[in-house]
Amino acid sequence: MMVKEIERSGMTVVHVANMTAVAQSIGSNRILKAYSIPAAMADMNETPEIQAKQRYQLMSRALEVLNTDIKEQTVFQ
Amino acid sequence: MKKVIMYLNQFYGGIGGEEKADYEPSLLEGTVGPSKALDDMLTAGTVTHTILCGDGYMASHTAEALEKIGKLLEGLEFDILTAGPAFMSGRYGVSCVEVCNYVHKNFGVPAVTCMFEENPGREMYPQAMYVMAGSKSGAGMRKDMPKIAAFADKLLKGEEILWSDAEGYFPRGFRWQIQLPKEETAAKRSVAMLKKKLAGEPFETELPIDAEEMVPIAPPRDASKSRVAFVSTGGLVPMGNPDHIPSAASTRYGRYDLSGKNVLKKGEWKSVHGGYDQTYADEEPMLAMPLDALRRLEAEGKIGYFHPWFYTTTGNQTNRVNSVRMAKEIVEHLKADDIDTVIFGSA
Amino acid sequence: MKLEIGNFYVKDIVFGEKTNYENGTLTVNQEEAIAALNPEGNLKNVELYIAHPGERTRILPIKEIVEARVRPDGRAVFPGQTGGMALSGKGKLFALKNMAVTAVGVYAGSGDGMLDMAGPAAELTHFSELIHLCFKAENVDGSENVYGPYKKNTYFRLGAQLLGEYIGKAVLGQEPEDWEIYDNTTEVSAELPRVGLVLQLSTAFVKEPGFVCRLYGEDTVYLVPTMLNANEVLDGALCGDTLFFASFKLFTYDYQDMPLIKELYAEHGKTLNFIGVFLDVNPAVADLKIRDSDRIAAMAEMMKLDGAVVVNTANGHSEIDFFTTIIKLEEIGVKCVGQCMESPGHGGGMQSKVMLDARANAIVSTGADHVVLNLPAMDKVIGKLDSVNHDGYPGAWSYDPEYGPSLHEDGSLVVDSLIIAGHDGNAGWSHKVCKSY
Repeated sequence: MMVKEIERSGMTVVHVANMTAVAQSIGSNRILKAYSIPAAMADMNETPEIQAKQRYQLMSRALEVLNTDIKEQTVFQ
Repeated sequence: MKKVIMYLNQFYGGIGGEEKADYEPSLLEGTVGPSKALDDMLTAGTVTHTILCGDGYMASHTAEALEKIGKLLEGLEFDILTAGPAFMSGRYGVSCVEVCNYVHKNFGVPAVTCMFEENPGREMYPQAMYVMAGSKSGAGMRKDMPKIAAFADKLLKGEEILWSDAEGYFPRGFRWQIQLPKEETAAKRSVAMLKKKLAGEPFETELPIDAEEMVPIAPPRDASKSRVAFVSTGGLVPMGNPDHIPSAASTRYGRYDLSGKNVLKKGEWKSVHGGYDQTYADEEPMLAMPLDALRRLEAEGKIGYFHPWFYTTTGNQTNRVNSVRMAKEIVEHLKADDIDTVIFGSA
Repeated sequence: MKLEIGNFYVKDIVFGEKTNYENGTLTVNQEEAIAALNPEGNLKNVELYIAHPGERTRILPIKEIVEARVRPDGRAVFPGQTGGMALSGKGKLFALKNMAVTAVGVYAGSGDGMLDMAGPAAELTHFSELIHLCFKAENVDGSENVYGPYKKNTYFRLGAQLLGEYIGKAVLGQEPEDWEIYDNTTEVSAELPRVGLVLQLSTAFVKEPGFVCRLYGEDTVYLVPTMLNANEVLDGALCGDTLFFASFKLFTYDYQDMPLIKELYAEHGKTLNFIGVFLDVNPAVADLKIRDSDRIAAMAEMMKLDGAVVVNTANGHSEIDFFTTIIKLEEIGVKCVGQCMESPGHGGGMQSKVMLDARANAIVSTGADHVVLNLPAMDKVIGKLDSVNHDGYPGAWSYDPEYGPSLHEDGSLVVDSLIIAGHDGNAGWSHKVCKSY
């Protein structure tokens, strides 16, 4: 619901969430699937080095999603 | 006899029409128009005073108007505040809920008003007052006044307030459990509801869910030319949780300075999110807030500008009213820094 | 399948020389009963107690609740669990009604609960209406003899199931007072809508075996949604878990006597065609949630369902499975009624569910899962009252800034309803509902 309120102000928002079903139900428009609930930004079972790479890749993907023209609510992987 | 104070606008208070809309707050000892009608209907209380204020003045000088009303009420003893009914009048409806909210917060008394369901005032402060479901136009005055009176009497007598359908007020965002007769089991209710749904007959859900209104999709933005901020409901806060962010049902968010930081270090941050195992984020805070990655993208020019503040709260079981309010407050901060792009992290 | 359950209505339970059932009175030989529930000696200090509805008795910590039953043909009551595998759901079964067999320990864990047989908490759960034949015990292996969250309670759960079978044998050779017939072999008009029950099992959270719901004696941790004949559920195919909270989880008794199945059966052949039970699960991973809801929808399509009752039996992320399944079923045209508890919190103002979706437009509410209860002291305790002071249970605490400790000096309690076994009545028992205020 916060995502939607922020987007209502005209800002472009990417919602990075593992539980994409919840993100859809609260009306987020651009949704990017995250790793897991307790560790959204990287795989909690990986080494710190690999996690750092995963974070960079996920945030790079988030920037791509922000720059993607969508016509309806979309879940990106 | 318990004491009631009522709020009316310039029109219903007999001051005048639109030409008197800038009328500043005054306190009338006794009653006029609707407050007289209310006094006649009440069985458990009497209307001692009527507050009068022009709708235009309240709309354009809200804070001052409320403060003046606060001064007028100082030293007066009263048990509840009533206001309206406001029907479909937007300005009057908003005035009523502003006054109800202010008086409830500052004088600790229950407040009751009444308006049509589409009145914009209706949803402003749902938990600070009871808004009775009222008529669309002033022709419904004779229907609406008894609703205010009957409900005010219940409050004055300290009687149990039943659920919204039973009492006729708009839901205030609370759900409470009640017991039905023993034989009305969930199994019987489920099968009965399914039979109706299958037969195409009307049925009534026991948990009403409003369809999620979608907001217009914001345009795509190239982050290298944008001003980007990171907001999160993942519950990551500085060690010691200085702003006391609750682990669930949050009413507060924290705003933390990232200036000069390239990473979030273990031991300086922790998760207070009550909906998941917090040990992973405690061990590596950047599993919840990927600052290292964002700084790298900033250094590479892929993020044009990165907002120096990080906004964080917990998202689990936070209700709509608080979510919307917190988001609006965060938006104000972001606008002040011309932010146009947001990365939002959640569980 | 055709299942015939012959009922014996127990009016009282007493201890005596010989275990038998006569004129509504069940007499129990304690020594034999203890031997039956503890065949390998994994439990120690085993004692039996009887608690009647209306008595000022408090039972805690409760680890399992089972209906006492026997099969005249000698098959195990819980195939794969208390005896060899044999398909449930067919043939004759004897059941002792108005009573339950209840396992009670000393050390409380996350899946354990409490029952008051009188007072305000007794109003809130179907279990307080039964006569309870309780055994209290401790594990010989001390590893679970601590107050703390996750406990397998293996021998308590098995003990209750075995004691239920032993007690059931008391009615062998007698004629039941009445019969319940569950027969889905007969022809049903093709005009009637085809209806399924989607039942969420508590399967996820802990990957280690020994905690979750069992299907024919096997843990359902990795269960992919599957389909059962409703008779199998009524006839011992499923046993309860020891992980989720006592207020909302289903005990073995709840599966054996599931009101939702009985109500659907009552309409079978009249207003609907009850096809069967679809087991849903609640994995902690988003992709598995989608896979599992897709599986339910695929099976529903294969079975040509017109409608379904979808049951949510746990809170938290299990609610996502609940809504996702409803949405997927509605998308393929299966009309759903969801049954769930709500979580508005102590203040009543939290969002009722983790996820809300307007496509779930027909929901039956079983009430609120967190209600603060002030409960008077009882005259008698079965188990250990002090267990509430060790933070093992959800819903009881040694310290709370607002409420103080759960246990007061005079024996009265302040607890959250999470501790009350069966409070949420999610098998369909609940006569509670949440209303908007």
